[in-house]
Amino acid sequence: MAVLETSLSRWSYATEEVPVEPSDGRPMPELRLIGGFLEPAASTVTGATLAIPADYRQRILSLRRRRNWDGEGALPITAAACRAALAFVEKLLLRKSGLPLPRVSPSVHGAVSLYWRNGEEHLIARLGSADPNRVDLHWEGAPGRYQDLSCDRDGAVDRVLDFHRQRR
Amino acid sequence: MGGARRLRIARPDDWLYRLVKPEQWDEQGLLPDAFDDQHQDLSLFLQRVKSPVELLTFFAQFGPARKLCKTRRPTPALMYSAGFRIAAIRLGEFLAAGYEIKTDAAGNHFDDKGHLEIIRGQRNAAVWASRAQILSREEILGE
Repeated sequence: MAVLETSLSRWSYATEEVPVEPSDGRPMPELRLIGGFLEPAASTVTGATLAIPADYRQRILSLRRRRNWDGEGALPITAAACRAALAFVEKLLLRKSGLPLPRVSPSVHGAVSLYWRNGEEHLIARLGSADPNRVDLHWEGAPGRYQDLSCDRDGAVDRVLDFHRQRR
Repeated sequence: MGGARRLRIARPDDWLYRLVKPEQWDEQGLLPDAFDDQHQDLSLFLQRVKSPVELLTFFAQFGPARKLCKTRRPTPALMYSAGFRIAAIRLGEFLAAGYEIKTDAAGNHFDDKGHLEIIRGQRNAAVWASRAQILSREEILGE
């Protein structure tokens, strides 16, 4: 385990330990700091687990909203929630290279929604403004099945990886 | 002699419409948030009562449409340009998943404007988003 002391500190987990080996056993690409975010070095394009496009980052960070942003009483989405959502995606990619980037949208529940589909099953991770360190997971499957779970960020990462591990 | 008024009953093969806001769809299609809201039950409109243009016109009076279209009286075409869309899904999708239609005291499924609600339908928002389709510009505006 190694300690990453980079821009992640702005998301208040600078001393958090993350594995240097991806879960699939391949060597971790060299990392360097680019524009305040961790990016794989140019020489390590293969296996670049942290290649999150700039417009994707911006898309998540732009989801900050005032109260009633939908005209129907939607809860506000804070900048902290947006940063937490981006940090969550980065954490996922640190754990599993090649994980598909989730589709993102603002949630009327005052959260950033991250959405994955795997066959006929669906998983939504919501990082809310009330507590950006918690992740609300919502799973759906046909017909009419669903499950809700609220957990900490590490627990949510495990759940998301489990969801993708099972090919459907 | 006036007979009893006929109940307004929706059929499984009926198409239902739902307004989709600009950030509730992307290049891959509908997002689950298109079928989520803060209301108790999921609101939809019956296609055989409300046309796509009528649906956009109805929602044009509310704040989000005015704000995004930057005018007090958005037209359906302006709303489409601003990213509003209409999703279409068959009622049978909800019924097959065990969901029920909310009825009024008389037993009607929908009101005279075609408004219908699926009880707690938001719980499977992602499934509906994956089963529904976004109407094309031509289907919405007839252009």
